[in-house]
Amino acid sequence: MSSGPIPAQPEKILRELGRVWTSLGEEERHQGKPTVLRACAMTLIVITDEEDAESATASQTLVELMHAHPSRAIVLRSDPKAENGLSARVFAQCWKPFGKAQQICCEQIEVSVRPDRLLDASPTVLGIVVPDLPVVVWCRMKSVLRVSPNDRTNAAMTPVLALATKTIVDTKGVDLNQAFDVLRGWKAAGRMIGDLEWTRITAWRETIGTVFEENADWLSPTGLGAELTYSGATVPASALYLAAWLERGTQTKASLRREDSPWPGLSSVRLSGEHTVELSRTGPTCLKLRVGEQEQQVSLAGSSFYELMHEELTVLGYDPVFNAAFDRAEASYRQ
Amino acid sequence: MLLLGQMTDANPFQDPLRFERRVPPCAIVIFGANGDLTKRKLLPALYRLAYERRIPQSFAVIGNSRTHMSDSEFREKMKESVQQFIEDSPFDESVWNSFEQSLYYIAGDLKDPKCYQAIAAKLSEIENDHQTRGNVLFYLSTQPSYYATVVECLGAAGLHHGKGWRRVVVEKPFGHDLKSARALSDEIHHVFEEKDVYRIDHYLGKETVQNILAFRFGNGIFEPLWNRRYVNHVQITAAESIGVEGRGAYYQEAGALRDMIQNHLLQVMATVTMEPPSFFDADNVRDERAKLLRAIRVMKRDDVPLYAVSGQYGPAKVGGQDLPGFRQEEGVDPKAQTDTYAAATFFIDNWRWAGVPFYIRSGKRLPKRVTDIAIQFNAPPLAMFQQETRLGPRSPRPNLMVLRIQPEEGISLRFLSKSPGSGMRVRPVSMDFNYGSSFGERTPTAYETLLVDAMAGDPTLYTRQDMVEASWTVIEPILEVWRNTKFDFPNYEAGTWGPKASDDMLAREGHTWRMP
Repeated sequence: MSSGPIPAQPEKILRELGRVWTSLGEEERHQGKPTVLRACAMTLIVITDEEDAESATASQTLVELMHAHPSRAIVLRSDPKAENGLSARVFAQCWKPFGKAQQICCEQIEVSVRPDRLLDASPTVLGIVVPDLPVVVWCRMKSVLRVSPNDRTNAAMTPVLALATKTIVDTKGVDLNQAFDVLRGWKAAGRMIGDLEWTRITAWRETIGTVFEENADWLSPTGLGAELTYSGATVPASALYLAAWLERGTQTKASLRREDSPWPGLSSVRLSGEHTVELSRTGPTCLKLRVGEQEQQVSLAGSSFYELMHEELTVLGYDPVFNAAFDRAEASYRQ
Repeated sequence: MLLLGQMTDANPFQDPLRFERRVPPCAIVIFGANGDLTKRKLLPALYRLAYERRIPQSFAVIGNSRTHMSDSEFREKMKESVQQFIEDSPFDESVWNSFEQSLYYIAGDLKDPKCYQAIAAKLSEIENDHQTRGNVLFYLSTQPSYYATVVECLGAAGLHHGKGWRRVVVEKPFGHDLKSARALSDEIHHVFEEKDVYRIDHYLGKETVQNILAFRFGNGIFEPLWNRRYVNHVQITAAESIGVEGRGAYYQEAGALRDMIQNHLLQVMATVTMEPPSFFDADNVRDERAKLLRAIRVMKRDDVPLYAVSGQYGPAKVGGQDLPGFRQEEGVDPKAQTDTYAAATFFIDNWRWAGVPFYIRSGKRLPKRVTDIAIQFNAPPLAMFQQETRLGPRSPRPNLMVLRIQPEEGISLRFLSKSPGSGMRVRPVSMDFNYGSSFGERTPTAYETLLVDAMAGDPTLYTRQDMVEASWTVIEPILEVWRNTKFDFPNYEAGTWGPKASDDMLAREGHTWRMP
């Protein structure tokens, strides 16, 4: 169920949404019983542009996310070919849970805007967020993390970002010097942030956490030396975050080393002292854990956009562990 | 139940916002491993925990029953069960292959000391091979008559203590009356301390029952209305459309009052009505639940016919299908006096609820499968508007809040709204929250939740001995009167909402059963 392009004015978009719901309701009237259930727990704004090579994957992710996090999804796309410079389309994303008679439907609004008219898009977005529910921004536009706060794109995005209960970015493959600047600025302004590079290391962190939980009677992290290796030309944020998180536990400085590996990003972690705990990547979705002489294979599944975003959307409040790791990682990167 | 802030400080590598509660190193010994509960609930729940990476390497399961089987035959059998009974979850061959390496089987008679020696030997072998740290959870999934025997034999074999913790999970029924519940408890306490006894009531593990606590104590707007000033009465319904389905022999000894009301529904009632705990931990939550159960007025014998109704279904044709009556079911005595339907009116003698009737009903072969709690609020003091009905204008129906436990889990609130058009006509409308659509992700089954809690040593959702005794105390007079009454059964047809006497019980208070 979708509309054609319509002017990107909030009242027109909301009217069109009303039409979509009315036509979905027609079916109910014919069948004489409720067939459609409207679900919404938040507004999820996705900001993307033509540089976003994975925007098709992201769109699919959005559909999948609706099942666990029903929301009004607003896709704000910076597109040089945007019709009339700024236009919108309205959809309903529906699915029928297994064994249920009712469809569950969520709203999706696509706003396309020419890059030179980005500033005009903010009032549209501000007018169509769902009142009184959390607003999460998934900012896939890398340029937001590259520019100085005075830049045009950043200025255009500021009102939208200011709405957000939480802003989720992905610092993978961006210049961390600039990205950390931007994120620090957002944090200083009191904004809640999430970084998918942090989410990518949850399986690593959880495995390490479990090792120390299960072996607490003989294995203490305090004083262990941490050494991390990564592949790629520059140190990824995930490695910096993990090093920072480990440093809090070991209370020693972690070292980072570049090492060739078939898999990009973080390659291994070694915690050594009286005992050794080693976690190394052995496949695209597989880790090898070694505690002393014992070895175990651990699944690294969970790094698709859906899984990463699903995890981030379950943590909408203040995240003290991430915030502490971010501060330490940034400070360590600056040194 | 641990709160986020309560996570252990010893391990700095914790992130309670993102890490799932994991199963600690341990072994589970399941007595009755060839039974229905193991196949339908326990193994599928354990497999799902493995699928979610919540089961550590240092984990093992020992199944026990009389049937002779090798480890590999047991594994094959459990694999078939998991494939058949796992709910809303994929079956992953590679996860199973890894998980089944932790499954073992010991055949043996529950009364035979040699069986426990074999289990002890296997446990110490497993402790070496799987590093389970000597932690053992004994799960009694046998016939209830064996509970005391198994516990006694565990004690005699010295299995109740070891290097790590030892806990025992007991399935319902916890006795068949107050006396037997106390006797069972005494026998268990000879071997295990109360803190190590986990009496499972799977209703308390249901997400939607836990949600009642979140709904009541996480929101500020409902609790002020949650008392005798605003609540007119409460109806708790647990209806099943099926009959006894091959459990006739067991069921004719139990009946609906024992099988559902004494445990599940009184626990649900306590969850709906208990006072807010000062802190959300096992002791505080269970103290409040126990306090509420003790506050339920115990009926006098003479009051039982007025406040409790027993029913039994007879044969009927439903949807073109001939359904047998209870007495025609396999394994059932043709003159059985068993209650396949039970309804009762309870009152809670405390300041919050004094005078508010709580109607509870449960039955088999009712028109549909539904469990819900309906809170009927008082009508406005002045009926200003009239509601159009088939019978002409009537005073509008008062507000109703329904907490739906199953199916279509959720909460709805009925209130009045002006009908469109001229004139001040009002119509009831419903505002719905649907658990499934707001949290579309899979919810864990009650057994997943409860097994992890038992292994993690969190008894919040388990019933304590004082709670069990309090609920038997409430039920006992009804049981006693019913035992000495010869009922003219059957008194309701399959596919109907129970006997007329049940409707009469509410009518005497000026109320009617709602149609869930």
